[in-house]
Amino acid sequence: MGTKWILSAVVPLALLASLPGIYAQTNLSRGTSDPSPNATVPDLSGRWVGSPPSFSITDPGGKKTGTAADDTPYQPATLAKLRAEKPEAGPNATFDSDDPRIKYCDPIGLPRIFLVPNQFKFIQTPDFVYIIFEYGTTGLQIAMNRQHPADPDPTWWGDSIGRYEGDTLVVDTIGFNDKTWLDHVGRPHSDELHLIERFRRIDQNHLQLDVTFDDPKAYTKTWTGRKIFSTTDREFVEHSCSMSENEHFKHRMLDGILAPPKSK
Amino acid sequence: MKSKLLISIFSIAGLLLVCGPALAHHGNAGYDMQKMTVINHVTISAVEWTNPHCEIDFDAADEKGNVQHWIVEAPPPSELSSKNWTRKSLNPGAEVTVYFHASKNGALYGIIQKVIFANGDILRAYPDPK
Repeated sequence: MGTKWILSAVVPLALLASLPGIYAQTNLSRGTSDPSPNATVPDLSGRWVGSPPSFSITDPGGKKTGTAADDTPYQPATLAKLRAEKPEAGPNATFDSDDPRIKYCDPIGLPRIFLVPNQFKFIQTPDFVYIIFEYGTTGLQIAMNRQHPADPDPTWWGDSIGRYEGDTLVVDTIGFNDKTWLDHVGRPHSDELHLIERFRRIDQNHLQLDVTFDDPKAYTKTWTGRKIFSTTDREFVEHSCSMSENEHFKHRMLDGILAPPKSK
Repeated sequence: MKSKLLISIFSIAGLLLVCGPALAHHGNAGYDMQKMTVINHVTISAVEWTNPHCEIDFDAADEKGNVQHWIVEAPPPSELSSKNWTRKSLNPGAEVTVYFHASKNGALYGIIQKVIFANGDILRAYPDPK
């Protein structure tokens, strides 16, 4: 008889204990990143598509990269590194690119993944916002209810935390290694890059990303960039980087295109 | 013997395809982007629907009737899909007209711009030059 009483009490108590968790998962406005119980979370849904090759506001086509007309506040060593690279775009574009995402299928990294002409989408939950990318095919998580670790390991994608400020999702990322390029024209960054991305839906079919690059080791001051995305109704089509497929392309085409002209 | 080959070469100054919305994975620096090569009556021999680039093989006869085997790159499947291509849009055996930018070194490679079928249907890989 005693056992039956305990069992009959435990089950309802367990149900009551689980209710706050269920509530938090179903009511987005109760996310800890937005303390106001009546605030709404901005709707970032949609399949968003970007465009290459850079975030520069004054030179979005990247044609001035590394020239005297480039207003990016490079440290001298950063500019030297940029000029020594062989990117696929910009004034120093070469077909035999040493871009690590081409040469090694290295992760393309942040924020450069937002420059490829492939789609991404947000999945918004109270504790995490996930971004799923067609390019990769890869995904990121943005923690919405914690701070950065005190000493994060340097990684390709860093550690992202986020919050909502009105209609904007603000993503703050640190903990990068220095192996990626910031854009297709080859702008470097250091392992001290502190990246701030602000995503805001400007109308039903357009999303604006404002990027702040805070990297005093590589740049003399903070600088900003922008990209506007538009929607597509196309389903994801896989875009995976494969070294074996890259080698196949190299042997089938690249080597022949890079060969010296045949003498007539 | 009537040659099946008709090559038209258009010089287009200031072509801006390099800065178009869908850059090739390796950029376009290896191709002559100032000149559009057009070959009629080519026969598609293979299509590779793959990353990093789709590859299209075709055969075309030169002025002497010798068959030349070309390979041109196209954007990857994710980009071609947004332009209404499928992996079966262009099949071996099809006879089409190909618009492309040829390799600067004269080798039989290029980057495709569009394909036109005998019935007038067009498959564009990149926008028409302005």
